[in-house]
Amino acid sequence: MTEVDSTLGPSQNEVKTEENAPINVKVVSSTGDEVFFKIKRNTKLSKLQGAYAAKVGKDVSSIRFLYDGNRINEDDTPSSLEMEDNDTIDVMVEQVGGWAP
Amino acid sequence: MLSDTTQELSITLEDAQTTTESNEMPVVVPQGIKAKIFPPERLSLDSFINFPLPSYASAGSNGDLTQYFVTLPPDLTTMTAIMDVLQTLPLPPPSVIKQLSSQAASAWQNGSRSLVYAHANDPCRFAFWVLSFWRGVSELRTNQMGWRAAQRFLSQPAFHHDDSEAIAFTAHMSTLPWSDRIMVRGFGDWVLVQDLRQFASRDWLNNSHLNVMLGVMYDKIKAIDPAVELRYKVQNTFFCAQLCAAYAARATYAESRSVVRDAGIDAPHTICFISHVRGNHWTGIAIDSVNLHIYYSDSLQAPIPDDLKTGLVDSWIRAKSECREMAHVTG
Repeated sequence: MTEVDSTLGPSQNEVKTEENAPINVKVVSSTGDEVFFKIKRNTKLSKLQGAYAAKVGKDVSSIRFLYDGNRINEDDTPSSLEMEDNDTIDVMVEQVGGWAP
Repeated sequence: MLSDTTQELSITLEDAQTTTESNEMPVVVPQGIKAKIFPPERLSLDSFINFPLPSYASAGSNGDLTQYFVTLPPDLTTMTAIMDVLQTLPLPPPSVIKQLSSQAASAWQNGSRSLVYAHANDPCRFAFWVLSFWRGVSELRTNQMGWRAAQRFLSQPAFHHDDSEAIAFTAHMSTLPWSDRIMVRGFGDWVLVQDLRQFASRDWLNNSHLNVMLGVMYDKIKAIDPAVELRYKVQNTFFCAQLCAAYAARATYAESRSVVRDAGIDAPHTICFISHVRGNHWTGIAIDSVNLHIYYSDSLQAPIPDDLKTGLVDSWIRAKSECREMAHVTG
């Protein structure tokens, strides 16, 4: 039984390693500037967001990180979003608008 | 213009570094302290507003930042002793917290290993995470003040002719947990409950506030007319910004990432979205994908900005021709 199972795929440890292998992610601003990150698949993207915000000198709450047009959630990881190597995250600065009577 | 900036992130670091044994500057407030001093996460908004937190020292308190950083290690080791000081002594003024935060890394590198409440002339030495504690409490106090302002706004006489919305808003405040976030279903966004207070104010609204409003309105319309989804496709507030960015980078933009085509331009419906113009104003756009009619609505009745019009028209024409080419190839 054990022998058969082992031939069907990588061992549990190997699966774990592969599932959490790092991928490259490109963060692209609305002006086209690019920053590349290497991140493990099970690491929360909030870490990437914090690092990017620190790099560009902005408060992370004033930036929106988008994957496929949707805002990335605090608990999202590359794995949970089914991201692939060399995928792109779009980033835009929060916009504010209104009208004063 | 593209930059070749590359950053390799070391993501394997553990979140918490609460001891001073390593060379990492400790920044994470111990969980036991957070649990005792910060409001419980499930506390309702109206209870959160009155949750007791340490106050600020007066603005004229010690402004000499060098007196806060000490080279000796922390001397308070028991939870009781630490809690006693954190709960009774006031925080430094907000401006001092901000300056200390910006100097913390260099102070650590220069050999400082603890901080004291210099503004209170207290000699007890804390690990560097006390800065995170001060910032955290300061942020909570700012939120409390904001929600108190929202409460005052809701009780204004202006609402007295029809206060049903104010009553509904207040009712939600007694049930919503202050630390929650709300997913905006169908619009790919979320908003912190704390940030809902802008709806009870004259403050201007950001992308996520607008998405919340779009989500609520669209749900109401769908309840009346479920077939509306077949005729109108409503995008979130990030769509237009992405469209404009794609247009600006049209020379290098990968065909596979076409924002317009992903929105379903080949489907016979009208795509609606909100645009942000002149740096401070929200306007509405609807594009009839079949007839390529663009409708633009501005509450200030100003014409559509030229760059937005050009970007929209060009993006749509390019995407339409791509669709036709693909249909030709696949057909």
